[in-house]
Amino acid sequence: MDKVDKNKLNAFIQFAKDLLGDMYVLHRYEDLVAYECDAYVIHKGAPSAVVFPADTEQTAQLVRYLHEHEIPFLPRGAGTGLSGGAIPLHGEVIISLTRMNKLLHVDYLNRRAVVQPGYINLKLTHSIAAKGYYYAPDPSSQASCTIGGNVGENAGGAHCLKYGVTTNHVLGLKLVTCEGDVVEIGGVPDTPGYDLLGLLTGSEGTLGIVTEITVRILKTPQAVKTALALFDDVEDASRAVSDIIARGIVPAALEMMDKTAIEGVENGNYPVGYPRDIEAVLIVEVDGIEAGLQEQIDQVIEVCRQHRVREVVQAKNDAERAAWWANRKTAFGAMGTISPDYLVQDGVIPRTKLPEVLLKIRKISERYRLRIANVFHAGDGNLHPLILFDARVPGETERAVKAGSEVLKVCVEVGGSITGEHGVGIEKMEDMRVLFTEEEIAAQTDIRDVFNPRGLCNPGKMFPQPARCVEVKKPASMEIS
Amino acid sequence: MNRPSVPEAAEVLAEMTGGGCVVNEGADSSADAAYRICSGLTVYPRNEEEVANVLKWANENGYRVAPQGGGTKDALGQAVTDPDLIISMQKINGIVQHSAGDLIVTAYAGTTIAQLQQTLARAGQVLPIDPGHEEQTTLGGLVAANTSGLKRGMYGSIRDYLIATRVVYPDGRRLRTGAKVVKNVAGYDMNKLFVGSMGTLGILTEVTVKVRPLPQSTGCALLQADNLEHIQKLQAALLDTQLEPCVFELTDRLPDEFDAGKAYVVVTFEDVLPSVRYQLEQLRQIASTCGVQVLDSSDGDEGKEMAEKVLGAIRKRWPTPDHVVPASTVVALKLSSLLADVPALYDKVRLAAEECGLEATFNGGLSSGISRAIVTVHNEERVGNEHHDEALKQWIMKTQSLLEECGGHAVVEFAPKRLKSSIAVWGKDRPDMVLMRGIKNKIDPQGTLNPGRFVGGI
Repeated sequence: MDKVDKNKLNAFIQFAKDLLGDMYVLHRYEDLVAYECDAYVIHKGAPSAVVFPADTEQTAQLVRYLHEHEIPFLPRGAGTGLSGGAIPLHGEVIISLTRMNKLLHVDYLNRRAVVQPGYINLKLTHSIAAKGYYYAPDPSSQASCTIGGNVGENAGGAHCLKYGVTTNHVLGLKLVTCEGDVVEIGGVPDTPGYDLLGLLTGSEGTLGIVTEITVRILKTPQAVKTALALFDDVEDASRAVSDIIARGIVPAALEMMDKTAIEGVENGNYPVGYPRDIEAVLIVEVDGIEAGLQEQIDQVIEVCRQHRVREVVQAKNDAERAAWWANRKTAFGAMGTISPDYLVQDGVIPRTKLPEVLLKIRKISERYRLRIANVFHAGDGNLHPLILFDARVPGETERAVKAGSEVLKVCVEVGGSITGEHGVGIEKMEDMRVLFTEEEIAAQTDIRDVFNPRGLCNPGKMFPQPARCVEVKKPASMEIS
Repeated sequence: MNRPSVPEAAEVLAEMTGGGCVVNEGADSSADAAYRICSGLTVYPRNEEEVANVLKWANENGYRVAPQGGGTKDALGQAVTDPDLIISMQKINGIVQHSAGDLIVTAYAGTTIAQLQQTLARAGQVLPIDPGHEEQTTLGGLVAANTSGLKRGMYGSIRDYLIATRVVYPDGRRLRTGAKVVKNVAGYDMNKLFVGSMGTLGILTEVTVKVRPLPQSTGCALLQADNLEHIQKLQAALLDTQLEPCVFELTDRLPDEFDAGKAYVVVTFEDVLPSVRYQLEQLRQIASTCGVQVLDSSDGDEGKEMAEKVLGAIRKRWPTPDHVVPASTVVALKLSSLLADVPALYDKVRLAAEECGLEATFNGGLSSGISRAIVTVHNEERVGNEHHDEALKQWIMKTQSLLEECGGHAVVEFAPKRLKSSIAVWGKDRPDMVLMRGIKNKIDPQGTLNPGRFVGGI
C-alpha cells in the first residue's frame, strides 16, 4: 500500500480540524514521531495524522470520511501493545481514543460497568473498589493500558487462570464499523445471532472501532493467600505447577520466573531480595471465601516441599503480597537493567509440556548466543521468553527475531499457540503460518472482509500476505479411535 | 442444474458413508413430529472425511442440510421448509484426548454430555455446564445451540470453555479453529463464530474445551418468600456480598416433597466444605433480614443429593421432542435480561400467560439473567391441537415485548412447527444483522446449511 496522497490528506486534515478543533488534530512531523510505534519497537512507521475524537459520533464521522476517501486508518489506545498492532506501517491516520476516557455508568446490582475505550484498565478497579468490586482482567500494563485496547487484543493477565481473559468479561460493545456506521453488539447474555462480541474481542483493530464497552464487574474476593516458592531447579518448579493443578486447586494466579528474569527484576525498581543463585521462583495465589482457604495454600506449600523447594513462604500481609506482585508485574521493563534491548514472546503450551519446552528454549538461547529470560503465567502455560539483545551490534536484532520465531515453533510443535495475550500485530504475522494452514488463514481473512471490505481499517496486520504457489498444508486427517 | 432425485441421492450418499444413509418414508404422524426436523433422508457419516464428502455433495447438488446431534434442539429455530437431508453426528462420538494435567478435553462432536462427564469424573474433573438431558445432548449440539443450565451464574457458558474445534464448511473444507491451550489470541477467535450459530455456518466434528476440577463439596438451600419484593431484596443483598453462589435460581415449583406452592429460590454453593458451610450460614442470615424463609438446607453428601434432586427436576421441565406427551402442545421461551429484571419477569411472564388463559412455569437465574418460561396445554380430543394456538401466540408476543421493554430478548426455544410459521422465533432483527448476513454469505453462499432457521432469515 502506498502512502496517502498529499492533497487527499490535506483535505482530510481540514475536515478533521473543522470537526474536532485544531488542537485535536496532529499532522506536523514533530508531533507524529511519538506515534511511530507502540510497545513493539522493532518496526516503525509515521502516521499521516493523528486525530482525537471526543465521542462515538465524531469517531463515526471521521471513519465515514476516511472510508469514502479511501484513506487507511487505525485505532490506538495507550500504545502499550506488544505486537505492533497500532504501528502505522502504511501512513495510516491514527484515530486515538485517549480523549474518550470516561467511566460512563456503573450498575452494581447488575454487576456491569460501561466505559469509553480510552478508560484505563486499573482506574475501573479503583473507581469501584470502595463498594467492594473490581474488574478482573489485569494485564501487567494495567496502570496505563486502556480497556478499548484490552478488547482489541483480548488482553489477559496474571489472574486469568481462574477468572478468564477480556473476552469472558465483555458484555456489550458500541462499534463504529469500517464504513462509519454505529451498531450495538451484545448487551444481555446470549443475544440472538452470531457471537460478534466474541469475534470483535481480540480482532486487533481490524474489524472496526469500539467506542463503548460494557464489562462485567466482580465482587472482590473475601480473602487472598499468596505463597512464594524458591527452587534450585526449574524442572522441580514446573512439576510443582502441574501437581498443584492435579490436586484440584484452581489458583487465582500461578506465576514463574527463571534465573535470568530474577536477575532483571532484582536490579529493577521493585526488588524482593531473591537469592541470586536460585533457578526459579513461583508465585501462587488462591482467593475466595476465607473459610478453607488457608488449607488450600497449605496444600500448595506442601506440593512445593514435595518438589525439593529451597524455601517457601506465605505472604504475611497485603504489603508483602503487593511487593511480590510489583516485582513480577514490572518484569519486562526491568530487563532494561541487564540488557539494552529485549524482545518478548508470548507462546502458549499445554502446561504439562513445561519442562520439555523450557529445555528447548535453553537450547535456542545457546544456539543463537542470546540470553533468554523466562517470565510466565505457568498456570495457563503462557510463556513470556524475553530475548535479550543489543540493537547496536549489527545482526543481533535479526538474530533475536529469528530466535523468537523458533521459540514459537517449539510452542506449536507441542500443541500450543504463537500468542496467548499479546496478539499477532506485525510481529507474528508470518508465524501465523506455523499454526494455521493457508485455508485456515483464508477463513479468517474472509471474516475480516465482511467487516472491513475495503481493507482500510488497520491494513496489513495479523495475517501474512497470501502466499503464491505454495503447497497448501492439509490439516491432519481425523481417525476414529 | 439437474438436481438428483431422492433415490439417486440415497444411493450416492450410502456409498459415501458405508451404507449410512436412511430414507425416511411417508409423513411422520407421531406425537413429537411437530417438534422434529423432518427430512426424506438421514445420513450417518462415520468420520470427518465423510461429513465433508456428504456436505460438499449436498452443497453442489442443491440439497439443503440440517446437521443434527442428539435432536434435543430440533424445535429450536425458525422452521421455513424441511431440509432435504439430515446429517446426523451420532456415529462420530467418543473422547479423542483427555489431558487431565492440562485441564482440557477433546471429543468428537457427537459425544453426549453424559459420556463426556463420565470420562472427566474419573479424573475428578467436570465441564461445569448443565444443559439437562445429558444422555442425549451432544457436545457439538451444545456448542451450536449455545445451551446452558442452572450453574451458569458461577461458571458461565460454553463460550467460556471452548478453545478449539474442527469444522467442515459447506464446500467441504475441513478447518481447525483455536488451539488446544487455555489461552490463545492468534488470529480471530473463530471458535466464537460457531457458538450458538445453529449449524448455519459449518458442521463441527471435534470440540476441545477447558474443564475444571470437580468441586469438593456442595451445599444446597431452598428458600421461600411470600412476595417478590423479598426476593428482590435477597437478590440485591446476596449479590452484594462476597459469597459465591453456584446456582441462584428463582422457580415457581420444587419437587413434591418440598413444594408448598409459592415462589422459591434455590441456592447452591460448590467449594471446599468449610467454605460451603460458611456460605450456607451467611445465606441463612441474609435471608432472615430480607424476610425470606429457609425451608431446608444441607451440605456434604446430603447437600449434593438435594441439589441434584431439585436442579434435576427443574432441568427436566425443559422440553425436548422426546418428552412431549401425546395430545399436548408445549412452548418454551428462553429469556435473557439484566439480573435485576429477573424477579419482575417472574411475575409479568406468568401473568401474561394467565391473561391468555394459559399457565406458565418459570425458572430464572438471579445471578445469570437467563430464565425459562414454559407452557404446556393439553388438547381435548374434540377441539384438536390447534385450539390453543392463538393464545400461545399471544403469550409469546406479549413476552417478547416485555423483554424488549427491559432491553432483553425472548427466544422461542421450543414450539410446534405450525406455530412457528407465524411468529418471530428469534425476536426482532437488530442493526448488526448486516454483519451476520455478510458472514453467512461468505461461508455458505448457496444457503445449504439450515437455510432460514436462524436470525433474520439466515
